[in-house]
Amino acid sequence: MAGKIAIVTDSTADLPLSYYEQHDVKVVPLIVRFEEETFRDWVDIGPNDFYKRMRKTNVLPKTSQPSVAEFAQVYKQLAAETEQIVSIHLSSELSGTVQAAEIASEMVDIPVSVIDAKLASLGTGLVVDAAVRAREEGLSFDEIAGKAREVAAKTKILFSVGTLKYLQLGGRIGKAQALVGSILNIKPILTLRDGVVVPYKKVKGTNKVFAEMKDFFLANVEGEGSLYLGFAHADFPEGVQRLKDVIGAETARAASVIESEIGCVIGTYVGPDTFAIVFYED
Amino acid sequence: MTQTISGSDVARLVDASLAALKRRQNEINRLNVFPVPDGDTGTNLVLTVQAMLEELTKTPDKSMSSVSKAVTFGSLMGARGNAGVILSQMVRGLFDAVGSSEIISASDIAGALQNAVTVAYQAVRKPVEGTMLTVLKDASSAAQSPAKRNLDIEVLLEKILVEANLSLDRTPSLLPVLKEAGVVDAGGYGLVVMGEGILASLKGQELEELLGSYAPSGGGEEEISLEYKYCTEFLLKGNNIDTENLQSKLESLGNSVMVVGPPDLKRIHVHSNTPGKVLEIATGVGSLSRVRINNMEEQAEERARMLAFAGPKKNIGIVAVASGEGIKKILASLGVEKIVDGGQGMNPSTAEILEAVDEIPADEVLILPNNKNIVLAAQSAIKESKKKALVIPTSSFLEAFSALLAYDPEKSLSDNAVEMEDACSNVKTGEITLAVRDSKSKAKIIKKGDYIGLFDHEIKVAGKSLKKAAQELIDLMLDEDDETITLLSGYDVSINEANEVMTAIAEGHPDLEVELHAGGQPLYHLLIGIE
Repeated sequence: MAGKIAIVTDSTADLPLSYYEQHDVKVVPLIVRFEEETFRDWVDIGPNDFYKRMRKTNVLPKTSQPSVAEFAQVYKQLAAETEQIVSIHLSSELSGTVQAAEIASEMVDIPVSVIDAKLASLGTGLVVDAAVRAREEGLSFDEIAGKAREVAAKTKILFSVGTLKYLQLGGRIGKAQALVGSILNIKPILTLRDGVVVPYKKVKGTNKVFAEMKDFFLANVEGEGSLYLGFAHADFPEGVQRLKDVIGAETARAASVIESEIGCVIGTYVGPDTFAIVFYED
Repeated sequence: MTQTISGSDVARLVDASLAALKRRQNEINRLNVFPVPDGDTGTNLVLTVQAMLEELTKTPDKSMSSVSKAVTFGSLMGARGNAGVILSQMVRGLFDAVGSSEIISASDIAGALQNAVTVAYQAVRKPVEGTMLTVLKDASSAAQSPAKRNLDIEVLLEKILVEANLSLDRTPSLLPVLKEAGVVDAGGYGLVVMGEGILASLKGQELEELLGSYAPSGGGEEEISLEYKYCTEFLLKGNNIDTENLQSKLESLGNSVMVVGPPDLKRIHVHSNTPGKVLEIATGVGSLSRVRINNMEEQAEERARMLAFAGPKKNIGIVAVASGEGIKKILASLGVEKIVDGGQGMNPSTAEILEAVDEIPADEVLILPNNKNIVLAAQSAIKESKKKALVIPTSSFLEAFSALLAYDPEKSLSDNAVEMEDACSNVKTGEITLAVRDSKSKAKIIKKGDYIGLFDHEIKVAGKSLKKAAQELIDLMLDEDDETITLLSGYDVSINEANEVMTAIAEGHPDLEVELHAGGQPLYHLLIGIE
C-alpha cells in the first residue's frame, strides 16, 4: 500500500503486467472485440496470442474505451483508501478514455488529477513510471501531477509499423495519411506530435529504419541527467533487439530501461511488426 | 450610376467576373477542403465562366433572351467540378428569372437572385450550409428590400457584396471541416470574387481601386482598414416606427443602412464606427432584441489570415520530368505535383519546364530533371521564372525516388535541396537497353540486338538475355552496404519477363530487398536502382 496518493492509468500504458502490482498502480482496461469475442486489454488476452490471431484474419478488431462508470467505480474504491488520485491516460486525440476519466473524476469527493499524456503505449507508461518515482520520493500530490505533466511534454516517441493499413483502417493515421499509397515499398517512421500520429521520415530498406531511429535518438538526448528508456514491440522482438544494438552504449547508461509489448488496443491500430522507442531525460 | 442592364452588357460583366477569378484562381484553389480537398475550385470556376464567355462570343444576337440562353448553355456544358456545376445552376436560375425582359433593373436582379438560390439548392441533392449556396442565399436576402427602393445597380451590388463577405466569414462556423482547416469556403469566395469583378466593371473602376473602398477584401496579410468598422444588427420593436427618420439618423453614423420590416418590427443593419450611438438612437425609438455587433476589420483580417494561411501548406511545389506511365504514377504518389513529359528522348524544352514551374500553385519550386541532359534546361528555366526555384540534379528516376523520400514539407527550400541531393548520392543507377548497332566496348564485342547494361555512363555488360544482363550488371554494381534493389521495367518488357528477372535477382540475393514496378519507360528495358 503506497500511502495517501493513488496512481491510476489505463491498459494502453503497455507496461509489463508485473509493473502495476510491484508499484501499486491501478489499471483500467480498455476492451478489444475480435471475431465475436470480447477481451479486456492485457487481462483476457496477451499480446502474443492477439497478434498471432491478427495475422491470420482479415477482420479488424474493434476497441472501446472504459466507461465513465468503470472509472467512477475505480475512483470510488480508491477514495476509500487514499486521499488523492493521479490518473494518467493516452492521448485524447486517439481515444475518449481521458474524457471518461475526467467525467468520472467529478463523481468522487477526493481530488483527482486527470492527465492527458498525449502519448500512447509505453510513452504513457513512462509518464506513469515518472509519477511512481515521484510518489516514491515522497513528493506531494501537486508535485507528482506536475512531474507527470512535465515528463509527458518532453517524452519522445518513434515507432515503425509493418504496414500503414491498420492505422488507416482504424482511423488513427492522422497526418501520416500522406504516406499512404506511395506505390514504392517505403518504410515509414512515425511519431506523435500533440497526441496525433505524424510522419517522421520515410525510408527505403529496413536498415535505414534503424539508422534513422538511432539518429533521432542521438539528436534528442543531451547526455546530461538521467535517461529513461522504453522499448515496445508487437510480435517483433527482433526489431527491439536490433534497435537496442544500434543504440548501443546509450542503453547501458540509462537510469531505467523498460521493455514491454504493445498491447492489444494499441496493437489494433498499429498492427503486428510494429516496434517503438520512447525516452526522456531528466 | 447604372439603373439598368441590357443583353449587350452581359458579356462585359461575365468577362469582368472571369478576370477577377483568374487573378484569384490560386488563392481560391488553396482554400479548397469541402467536399473534397482537391484544390481545384478556383480552376473549375475559371473554366466554367470561360465556357460561358466563349458561348457568348459565339452568339451575335445580343438580345437578353439570346444572351440568357448562351450563358446558361455555356455554363451548363462547361461546368467543371462541384463548384462549377453549382455555379451553372445559379446562372440558370438567375437568367431564367430574367426571362425575356430586355432591360433589367435592381429589383429584377433581386428577384433573379432569389430564383438562383432556389434553383441551386434544388440541384444539390444534399445542400450543405457553409458553402457557396449559403453565401448566395445570404447575399440574395440582403438584396430583397434595398432593391425595392429603386437603387442604382452598383449600390445594390455593393450591399449584396457586403453581405456576401459577411456570409463568407461565417462559413467556418457552419461547416466544421472549414474551421478545422482554418479557411473560408472556396466556392463562396469564388462567388464574392466574381461579384467584385462585376461591380468594378459597373463602376468603371480597376479592381484594386474597388477593393480598397467598399468592404473587407481578403487576401494578403496587410492590415485591413475599413471606413466603418462595426456591423450592427438587431431587431427593433416599436409603435409605428418612422422608417425614414430612423434611416436618415443612422445614415449619419455610417453606411450600408437597412431598416426593413412591418411598422412595429424592423430589422436594422448598420455599418458604423460608433455602434453604441446606433443602439442609443434605436432605444429612443423602441425596444431592441437579438443585437449583434461584429468587428468587420477583425473578421477581414481573420479571413486574410485564413487565405494567407491556406498558402504556406503548399509553400513548396515539386516539378519532375518523366517518361513512362508507371514512373509518373510513382512520382505523383511520392509528392510530385507537376510532371513534365519527357517524351521518347527525355528532352523537354526549357519552355515546357518553365510552364510547369509557373503553373504549379506554390511560391517555391523544386525541379527534378531525372536525366543529366535536362539539368541545364531546368536551370535555364529557373532563370526565367519569377519564382524561387532550385534544381535537384537527379540523373535518374531512381535518384528522384530517394530524393523525394528525403523531402520534408516542414523544411525550407534550401534545406530540402541539401537533404535531397544528399539522398541522390546514395543511389546507384544501372540501365539496360538494346544495342542499336554492333560495337566494341572495353574488350566486349556487342552485336546489334544485344542487351547492354550501363553503369556510370559506361557499357559494363552485354548479352542476349535480359535476365543475364541484369544479373551481371547488378553484381557489378553491388557493394557491401547495399540493402535494396529497385527495378523499373520498361514499356517494351512484358510483365512475365519482368517478373522472371525480379525472381532471379531476388533468389540470387536473399539478403537484399528487391522490388519491381512497371515503369513503362521508353528505351530502357530495365532501370536498376541500388542503395
